[in-house]
Amino acid sequence: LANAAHDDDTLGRPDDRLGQLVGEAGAVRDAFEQMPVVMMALAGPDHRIVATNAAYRSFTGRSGVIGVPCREAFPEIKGQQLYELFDRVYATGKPETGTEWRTQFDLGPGGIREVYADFTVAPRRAADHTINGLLLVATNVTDRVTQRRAAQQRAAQQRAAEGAPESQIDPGVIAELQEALLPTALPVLPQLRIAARYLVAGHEQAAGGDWFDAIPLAGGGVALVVGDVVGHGVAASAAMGQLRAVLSELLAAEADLGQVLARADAFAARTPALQATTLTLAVFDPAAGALRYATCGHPPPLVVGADGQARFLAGTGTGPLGTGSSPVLAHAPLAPGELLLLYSDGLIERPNKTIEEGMAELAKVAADAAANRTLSVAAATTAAERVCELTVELLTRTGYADDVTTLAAERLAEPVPALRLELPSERASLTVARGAFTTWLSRLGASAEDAEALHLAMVEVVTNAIEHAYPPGEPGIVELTAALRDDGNVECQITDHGTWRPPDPGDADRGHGLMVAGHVVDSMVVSHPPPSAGDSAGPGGTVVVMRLRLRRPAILASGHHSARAVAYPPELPFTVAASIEASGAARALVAGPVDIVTADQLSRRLLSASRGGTVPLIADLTGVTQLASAGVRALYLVREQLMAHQQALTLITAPGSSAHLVLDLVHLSHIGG
Amino acid sequence: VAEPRLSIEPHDACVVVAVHGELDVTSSQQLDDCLAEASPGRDRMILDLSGVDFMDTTALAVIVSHWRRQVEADGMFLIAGARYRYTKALWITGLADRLPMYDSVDEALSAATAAS
Repeated sequence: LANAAHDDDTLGRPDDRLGQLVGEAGAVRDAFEQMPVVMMALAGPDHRIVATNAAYRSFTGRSGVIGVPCREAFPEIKGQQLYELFDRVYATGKPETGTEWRTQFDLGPGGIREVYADFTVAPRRAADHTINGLLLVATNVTDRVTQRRAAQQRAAQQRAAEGAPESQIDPGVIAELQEALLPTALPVLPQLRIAARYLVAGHEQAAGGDWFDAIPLAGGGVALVVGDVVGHGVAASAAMGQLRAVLSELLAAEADLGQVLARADAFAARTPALQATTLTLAVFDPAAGALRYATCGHPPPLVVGADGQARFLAGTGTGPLGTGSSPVLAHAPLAPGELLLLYSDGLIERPNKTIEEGMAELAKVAADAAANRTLSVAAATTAAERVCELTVELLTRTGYADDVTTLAAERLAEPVPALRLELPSERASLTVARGAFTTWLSRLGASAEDAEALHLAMVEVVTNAIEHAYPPGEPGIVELTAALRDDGNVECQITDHGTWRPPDPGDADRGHGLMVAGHVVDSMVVSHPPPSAGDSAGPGGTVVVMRLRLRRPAILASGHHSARAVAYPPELPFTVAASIEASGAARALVAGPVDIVTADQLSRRLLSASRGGTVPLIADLTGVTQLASAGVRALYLVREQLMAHQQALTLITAPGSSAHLVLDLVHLSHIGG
Repeated sequence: VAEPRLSIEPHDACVVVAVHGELDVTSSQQLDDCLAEASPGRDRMILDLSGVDFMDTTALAVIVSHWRRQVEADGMFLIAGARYRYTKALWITGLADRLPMYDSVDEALSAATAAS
């Protein structure tokens, strides 16, 4: 009290002074109640609620909380890092602010209310200036966030509809470059469920250099990488892209992980921009159920157990790449149900925090997210996605100075077994196959795009077998098997033991069905194995094997609040439209770029248009925007196939077009369109 | 996988056949019958595919045969509301370029009316 007396000298008693300065108590109270911002006052270290105004009560959807500690009044907010922030402000006296902070209030039977707020939490002080509570002032910005998201979504949909490449929300060159150099899709694997999230630092001076990767290996394992190239900006991004490419090549070519690291280290040592790059590389071996990993100057990986407990793996103690210390590998088990989290130091090196505090907070947030103890609404369905999303969202709320990268891999407690169906060749079997196949794909966690593509292809091929393999009145069996391989490919095989009839050019549906199937998967092989020894004489039926690599989008975000899911690389406007002319010849209208990406598809489509080369083909290339050497090879291949059946290939090009010039150069005969 | 729901609704000189649900070989006869039932007396037919969630090439074959029949009888056969994601087969086979396609039933109706 003696300390407090000094500024009261001129104004007499504190109440009088406050009355003159602030206003009469009743009026102030009335104004506080009606103030059009969310306001709340807390007392004591347990943050007891002592004052709330009408805006606050309407914002939280709850009243009758006076005198109740925050954690009891709003238990659902635990795990959202807000009470930790309260504790900090109470302890340090430093005000903290949050921007577009997402909070969910549990309204009981009314459901869950999700709101966004900008806010400031400041200390409340007693007359002697000691902290005796907190003040919270917030603005409800839910409408602003919702409207902006809707606008962004509309814009993205519009771009997608126009076939234009997804443009940047944040025009930062670095963010764009990083995104171009980072994987946009992650593999979908039988044993591991992988997710990643990447946030580019807001300042260009700080952005760039982080990367992540998830690469299935030839031996059935999968390599997980998170690294950070020293420095920032375009140079760091470019160097990162280089190292990422080199490392993935090494991992593909070299089975000895020690060798991979030694060579990456040597590469970094002779590339100035890569020196002192930090890196965690972990390879999961599904057969052994264990990890081999190295932390080259990088913070150690975190493992979250199925019991919700988190532990950091021991660092392997070696320095960054290219600094003269040879990388060392360590082993660690990864049990079914456990989740491995790799991350960049941006996630634990945060303003006003020691590294130890940052790591402890990461472990807690990751464990809560894995166990689904936070933000129940709209939380991602898989533990790996939740951990990536929530660690980044919760730990960067109070600001982040560097890029932030997370890569999570959950070892599935129960890998999805292969699907095997044996069906009578009748139409009702299709419904059975569709139901079982759809359930199986959703258990794998396939993206909607991939699941729809495989489903359509399966329906076409199974329908073909049901309708055409067996003569009327003599039904047989159609077998369907589907398995997800360790390399992330779904292999789907449909077998019948009936009579193969080459498609009649007039039977448009049948050729179309196989063509559609071939179009939507990565590869399709139709074969007619000879009858096995035990079989009676006659054909051995048809085996169709289709493959599709499953991918899930990685979440890349640039700027704090422009988080968005980056879709697959935009589909190239490459199209082939096929039809049969009255003369019986096939006509294919090709448009868009024919390059290394689309060449395979071109040859496949042209061959299915010409029924495997059995009918003459007119390929109209006047809509082709670019004809690369891979496309020329594809055209030669198609011509060979046609020649084998004594059929002609007629190519039509627009005079003066690049396709016209290229075909002239390579002596593929063609006519002007 | 549920049976598709089909409906026939006359609009002056036009008839609109709307399909909801999934079209495959198990429902191709149903689609065929419905289109056959709708065609007599109306030479302008609109097939509303906006409610279709799945469509394979057997459904496509039915659509193409009715389209041909209508055109041969100097009638019209218009497709409305087909969504790429669920009716990819239309595009992959190139039929989307050959069949008269409209974004909505309203647009197809005004096109059919304007042609009179």
